[in-house]
Amino acid sequence: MATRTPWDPVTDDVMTETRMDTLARGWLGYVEVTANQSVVGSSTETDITSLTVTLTVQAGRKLKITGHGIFSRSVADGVTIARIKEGSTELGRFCQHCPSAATEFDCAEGSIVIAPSAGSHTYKLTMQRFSGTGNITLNAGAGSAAFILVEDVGSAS
Amino acid sequence: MATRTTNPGTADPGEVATSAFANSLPGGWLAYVEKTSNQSFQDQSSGGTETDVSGLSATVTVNTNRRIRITGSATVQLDDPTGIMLAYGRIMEGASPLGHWCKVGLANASLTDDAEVKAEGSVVLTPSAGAHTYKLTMLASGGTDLIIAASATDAAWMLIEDVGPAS
Repeated sequence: MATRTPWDPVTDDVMTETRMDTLARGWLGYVEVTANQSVVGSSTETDITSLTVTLTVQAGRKLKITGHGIFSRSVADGVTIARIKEGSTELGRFCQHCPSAATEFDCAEGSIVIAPSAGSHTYKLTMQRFSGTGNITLNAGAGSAAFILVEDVGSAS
Repeated sequence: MATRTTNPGTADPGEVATSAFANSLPGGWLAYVEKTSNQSFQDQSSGGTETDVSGLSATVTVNTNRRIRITGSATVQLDDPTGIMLAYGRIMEGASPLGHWCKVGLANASLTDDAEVKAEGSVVLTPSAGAHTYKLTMLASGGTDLIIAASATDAAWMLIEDVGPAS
């Protein structure tokens, strides 16, 4: 369990460099797609095209990475998994979808919280027909984007 | 792809917190509304239409060049234990859809209790400066009426956050 106590300012407090470092810095990377993507007849894990963010992480920071997308299957006989990854390393999953009918969608959203090393990092979203048959689809449109969001939520400790 | 480099994670002694630094920070939550009572939604097959989730609407003033995130969350339940539910929940500004907070299908043919799912989703936007009113809606489209099941210990809610400058 990791906890920290944020700075609780009182009148006449000074904004020191230490206190500046503890503050959340907000979003670092955001990218969305507004067109469907499918994996046809394959169980191979596939990068979701364009849902990749490359950014420079400062020293001693904690990040939150969120994936969001609407998934469906052509055959309701298995599990669809969508992951948050860095290269070949799985950081977490934001979708694990097992419909009982092909008409069922899953608006999936999930996050991971990490404290990466300083420097350049590339995070991406992937999807996989983990079991079963048929095709899997990421459903996205102009009013229903899929996205990856990377946020700095504060100092690492 | 939109990225930005924030202030360095390690500030130097004597560094001044300028207005530029302050503007680079997330502003935090702008609005939070919740409901703690159920609301029913009639299925399209019975004449139901996309309907506002009552109480889950908020008007916020967005400052110049900001990026915001709007999140909706609720437990969605079949109103018929033998039915099929397709629940389409959107985040809207007026008649303009911004994204989905819920899009889920559920068939309960093998269960004896009311099937339900916890749905949550968000959108990330860079709106113009000024007042904006955002809301959550729901459409039942699967042949079965549905319920947003909300209580004091399982509220449905909408949260609007300023996550930093637009770029």
